Amino acid sequence: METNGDAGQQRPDNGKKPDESFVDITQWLETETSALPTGHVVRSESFLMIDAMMAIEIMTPKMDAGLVTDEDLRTPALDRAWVEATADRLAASEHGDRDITATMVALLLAETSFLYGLPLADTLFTCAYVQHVDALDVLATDHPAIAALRASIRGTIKLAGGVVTLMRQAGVYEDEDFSTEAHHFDLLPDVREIDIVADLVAAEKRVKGTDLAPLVALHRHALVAFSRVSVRDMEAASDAIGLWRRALDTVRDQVVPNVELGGEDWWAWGFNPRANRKLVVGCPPRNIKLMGVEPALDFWSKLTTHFSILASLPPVIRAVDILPLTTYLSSTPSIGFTAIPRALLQYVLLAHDLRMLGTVPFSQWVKQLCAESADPPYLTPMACGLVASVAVTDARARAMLAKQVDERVAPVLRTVFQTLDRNILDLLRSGLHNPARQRRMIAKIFKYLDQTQAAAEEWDVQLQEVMRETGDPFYLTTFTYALKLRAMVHYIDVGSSLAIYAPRELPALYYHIDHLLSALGSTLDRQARCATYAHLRVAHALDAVQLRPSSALRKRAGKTKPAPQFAAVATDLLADPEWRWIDARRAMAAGMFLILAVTGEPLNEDLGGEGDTPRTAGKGYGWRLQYVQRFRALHAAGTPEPRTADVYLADVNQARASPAATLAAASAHLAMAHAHLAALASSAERAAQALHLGGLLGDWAREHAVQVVQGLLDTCIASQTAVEQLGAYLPRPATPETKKSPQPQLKAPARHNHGKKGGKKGPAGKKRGPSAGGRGKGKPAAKQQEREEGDEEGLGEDAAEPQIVWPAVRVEFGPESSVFGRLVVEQPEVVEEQVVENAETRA
Amino acid sequence: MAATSITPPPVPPRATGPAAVATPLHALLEQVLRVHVTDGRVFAGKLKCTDRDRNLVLSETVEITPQGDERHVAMVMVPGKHLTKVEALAVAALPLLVDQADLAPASNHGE
Repeated sequence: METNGDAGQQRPDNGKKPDESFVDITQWLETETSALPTGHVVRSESFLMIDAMMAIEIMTPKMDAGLVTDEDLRTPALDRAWVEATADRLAASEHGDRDITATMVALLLAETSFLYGLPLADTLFTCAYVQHVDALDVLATDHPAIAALRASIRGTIKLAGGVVTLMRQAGVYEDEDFSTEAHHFDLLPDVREIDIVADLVAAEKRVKGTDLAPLVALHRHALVAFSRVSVRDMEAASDAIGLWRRALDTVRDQVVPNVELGGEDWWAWGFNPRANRKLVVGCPPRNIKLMGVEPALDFWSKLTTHFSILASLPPVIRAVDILPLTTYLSSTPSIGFTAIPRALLQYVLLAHDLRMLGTVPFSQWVKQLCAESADPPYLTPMACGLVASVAVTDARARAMLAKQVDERVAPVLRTVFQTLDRNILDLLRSGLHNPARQRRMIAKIFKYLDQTQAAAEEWDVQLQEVMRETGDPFYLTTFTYALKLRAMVHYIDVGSSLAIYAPRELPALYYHIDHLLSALGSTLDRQARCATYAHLRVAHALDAVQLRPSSALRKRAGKTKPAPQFAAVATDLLADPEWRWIDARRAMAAGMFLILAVTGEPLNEDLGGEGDTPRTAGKGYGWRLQYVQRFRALHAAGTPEPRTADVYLADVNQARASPAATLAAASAHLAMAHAHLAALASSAERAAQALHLGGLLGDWAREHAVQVVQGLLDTCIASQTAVEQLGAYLPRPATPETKKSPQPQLKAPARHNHGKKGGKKGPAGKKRGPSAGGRGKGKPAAKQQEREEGDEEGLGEDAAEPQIVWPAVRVEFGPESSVFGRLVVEQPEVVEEQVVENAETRA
Repeated sequence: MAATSITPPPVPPRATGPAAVATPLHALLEQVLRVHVTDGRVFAGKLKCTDRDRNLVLSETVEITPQGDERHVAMVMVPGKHLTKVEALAVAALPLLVDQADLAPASNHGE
């Protein structure tokens, strides 16, 4: 029975006066309102449009929680009395076990729907048994089936309570992802998990051999796995997960086929979908439909896979591994991270080592990230440099330097951590949200990192003073910049997973990816220099010590060796799998841009305008405006220097001016990508390192990495085939009879000239990329000179350029595709006929 | 409360049309109504807005079910097509009614 409990609102005094004080004005109202003109309203001055939007529309099922339907009127109240009576009847009935089994299957579906993210009020607690589980206490003593039902319900509630608590603590949920509203439902907070597990064990024994046993086992092992992972008892968790899987298989193969739930109406099993509609006045009821059997079982299967992966994580998971782990879990279709509450992952990570989002200051975690990163170490070379400096000075100088470090370096580092804290935390949290929200968060992150870069440069200058260095390496700036570039690439990638890019936008998309990954590759080069510099500095300092006469210093220095990883870190970095992965994708993007640019539709300048320029009336949404709006977030970030629409247009036109050269350049890019990807795919370990999964235990990481790399390699090969097919459309070289004059030298697009120091000026005369440049190993020289292109045959003395009629070229995305789909050329047969014709003509 | 003069609302512009002129309906604004709907519920709240189709917007509304349960539902819009009966407080309604015959459900009344 609901009563008015909202103290914030003033009740009208309708309930206090006797009925006689109200008069019927129905007819009068009808008469008065019918005299109003259409479209006009009579409203109070205080009534605004926003109020109209907020009003709940009565008699609309989706908004009116209190709507009394025919169902509500004809079905019995599913209350405590009903539970007691029904349980009593089932216990006495020869078919009682069958009905209880059906009820438990229905309960499983409700639980699955909740874990999927739907509210408790619309899933689990629409079941009368769940609301009044204590009503089964007495009967459970004497009736095994009722005991099984009771124990399973309590196990379900306990698990649900754990998930709700976790979600609230982690704070990564959004209403659209997962509802944590518990409406004061009793989630058994004071009942120990161990007692509930004991109940489940006992109940399972009592119903052994029946269809109820696997269902009870499923709940039991799920609860145990959840709790064991949370306390880092991975061995017990792994055991529980194995048993959980076995129970799930039994339920799927043996129990479910024998159960008939009877359509969508589950009143018989105690479910009233509108049971809690009055609890959700603030948020209109959605009349949620519970999951079906097959999707629910599939979901549970994925859940066991998730837990199995989480259980295989090393005891101390490295911070650098967390983001790719979340990306892996969210992107792999067979796992389908989006199918489980994100906080389950958070729960594990929280419980794992409390390093991430627990009570430990996050700055400590950031420091750990820097120190333990598999990438070029950022702070450790700095620390080594300091050590080396200390080793070569006398005690007083050493003390002074230590004082400087404490006074100047430490505060700088603290500032760094505090500033980057938020970014890294947000970056990690973004991986745990739905893609749309993830994308918005990432955009904010890289814009903020762009602002942070200026501060990072100041910090580096200060550190240089303390460490008495000159010139590079600019550790922190490089770190910040690399982080930003990764976020920007991820931003585009997530947009692809949201399928927001239209086919005509793909050339621009690849254009930007090429640009960003080029910059990232250069940044890795710079990081290599950082590490090399640190190594050399330490080595030099140690050599200097050897020259000093003091035996004490020599003795001390003899024990001090540069950290082993620095010895080969420079060369290792250039062979670093991650570098290869970056360059492979860059090359893919470059190649695909060129192909799509040369075969695409002209960019009609008459349509649209840039930025706030008004569009030509009636002309619609032109490419320029689309380009600006689509990539606004990237351009707002500042660095690397954004590629404006003008630059894009110039490069597209340049590609089209020399189709043959463009195709050749595209082919070269794809060949480069092929080489990198083949090298990575040949070694599971390298593939895993490329995707930052190398530090994770378990074959799943390596298998997944190989799968991803191989998938991109297959895409690359298919695209290479497409380029070859397109080559047939190019005009044939001129024959001696038709050749009139030496052909002009055609320049290929000169965009992708990576590895040149000081940046490269593009077609628009703008400097591209960061100022650091880089050594670029093996990057293709895209500037190709002196293409021989024969003029088209038989065109006459004006030597007009023949129009190449390209076939339709599209990008085909598969289920495993990321932002790179495979190029597909349509209608190749037409080309062959043309070729035959031309050959005949020539003959 | 009987409004003797109504200041035309400044926004929206449409409201400056004929509806801005004081009508008997304006006098019913901010009055407590009891609105009966087709499923048997009653909504009691202050009238905020109405239109030609008898759509009623009520604020500070209480929903009363046929079983007598009450629930506060704040701002609601009751579509005119679902109205079965509308009641107003006598003290507010009586001055609006020209003829006592208006009080009878079946009686007709004109302007």
